[in-house]
Amino acid sequence: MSMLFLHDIFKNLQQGSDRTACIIEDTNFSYAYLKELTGAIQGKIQRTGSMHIGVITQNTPETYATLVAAWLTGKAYVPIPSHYPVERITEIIKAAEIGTLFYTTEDEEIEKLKENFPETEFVNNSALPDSECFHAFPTEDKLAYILFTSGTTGKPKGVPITFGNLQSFMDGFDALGYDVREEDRFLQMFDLTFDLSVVCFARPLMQGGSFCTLPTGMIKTLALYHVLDKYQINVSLMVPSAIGLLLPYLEDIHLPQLRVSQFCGEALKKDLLEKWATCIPNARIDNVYGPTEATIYCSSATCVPSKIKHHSGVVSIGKPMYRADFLLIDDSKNVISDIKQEGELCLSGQQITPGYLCNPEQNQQKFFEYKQVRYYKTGDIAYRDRSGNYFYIGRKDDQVKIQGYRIELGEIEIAAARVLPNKQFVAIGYQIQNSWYLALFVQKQDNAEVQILESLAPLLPNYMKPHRILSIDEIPLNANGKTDRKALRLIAESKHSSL
Amino acid sequence: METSEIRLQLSNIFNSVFKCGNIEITDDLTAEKIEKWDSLTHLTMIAAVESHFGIRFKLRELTGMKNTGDLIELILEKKQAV
Repeated sequence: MSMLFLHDIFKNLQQGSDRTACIIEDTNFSYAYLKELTGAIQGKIQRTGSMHIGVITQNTPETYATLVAAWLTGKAYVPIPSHYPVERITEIIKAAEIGTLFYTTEDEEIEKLKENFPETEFVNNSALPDSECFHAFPTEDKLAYILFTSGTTGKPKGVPITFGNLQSFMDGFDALGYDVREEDRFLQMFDLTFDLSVVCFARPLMQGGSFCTLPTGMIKTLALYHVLDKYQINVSLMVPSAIGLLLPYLEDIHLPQLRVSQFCGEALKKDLLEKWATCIPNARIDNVYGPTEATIYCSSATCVPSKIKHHSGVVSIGKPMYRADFLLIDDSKNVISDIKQEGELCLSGQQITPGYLCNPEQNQQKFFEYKQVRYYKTGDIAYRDRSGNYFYIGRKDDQVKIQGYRIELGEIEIAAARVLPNKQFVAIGYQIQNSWYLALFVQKQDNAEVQILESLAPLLPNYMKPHRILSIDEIPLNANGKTDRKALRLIAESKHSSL
Repeated sequence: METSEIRLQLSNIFNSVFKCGNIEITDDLTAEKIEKWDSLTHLTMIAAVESHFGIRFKLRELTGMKNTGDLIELILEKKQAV
């Protein structure tokens, strides 16, 4: 397999035109500028021994140039937000064997990181000597990036994605027929630890187009509208909750220039989609689906507002993409062939990760072979209709998604138990209108909200912190003697109004 | 309506939405200074302000707001227009 996506990016950089490659913090940066940055960073990457390049995720052109530079040098990047708890960064650096961390802006958080990681080399990617941009032609089995997701054991799981996985995704993307053009401007609203960011910055660069990030310092939801409107975005990929918050202002939104509007990362509600469709009269709307393990996304459903396929108001996740295939299995691991019978959704194809980093136990649990094809078990419950469209029903386990971030509730409970070891904790995800929240129940511990939240701060990233700590006399049990999460969810929902 | 009166009423709304003790309403107050101030609580606060003052903001007005001073100015403008 030839890494055509990388050749295309390299070709556009080599041309070094004055065309805009990216708009970051309301400033345009050209391909010529990105080429210069990429070359200089490649020079430095070449001199480091590590195969995996740590990148502090600051909103700068240098950050994006570092991602591209890593790829063109044949190495993988590992995104690390500087505000993550030190313990989590330590686990990532250790698991991914990162020797060098690139950053752009010297700030307090970078200073703290330097103190905490004296053996790691910190490189300022904005102050490197000139060097020629080159293409190392990585093979398909080499890693392109490693992302860390929430893990049930309390430790993040490393998901490595190869250049071959990424090329397969790009082939699948193009087979969807979006007809990406040189003049297209993509929205890039995601944190770089979220794999949806990859298509948002890489796909326009393959075409000589541009991408636009959200300015920092602005409320995120408002920054999203600001960018869509001011920069006349043509192609957007968003999580549904991002526009859910804009619902009261939808009548103010009119985006005729948007021609592709994709949703991913969370269940998309039919009523939200119908309302959004009125703001974007010329756009094709697609609901796409896929976990990090299957490289960005691997299924797609084009939604026509008058005839949306849905299950209980949740829009279909559509059919597998070009190089992907789906299978449903029941609790006894038998393959389900009946139409409309629910089962665990399993994915195969060339977009599937080679397996978790240093985690044989999870690899054993999550991957299996059927008729000599390797499958990944998603933990998502789904069914298929007669025409081959898949419908998401819910989760098999306690994983929830908040603003697209995957959160294993067990990881929050483990962190809480470290704060108060003799207490019992149960974390619950619950939904009010179109937004998800996290509640952490603690047994008999009144007035401890502030103390618990403060103690959790160095242990969990912001998106995993509970919105509410609730004390309860006894954790309720269901008929099987297990924690009654349904009952707790109802309590959390009923107490939400006092938030 | 005076600016000082708006500040006082905003203080009650901010304390109720952001839940972090007594918040002093200054013109340069922004989301960076309050931990629980994110997209969700911001739009909850805006909805509470709209309902309390009986006004309605346009989305472009909300994106143009840089700090609490801008919010106060906009409330004054809207109240005078009513």
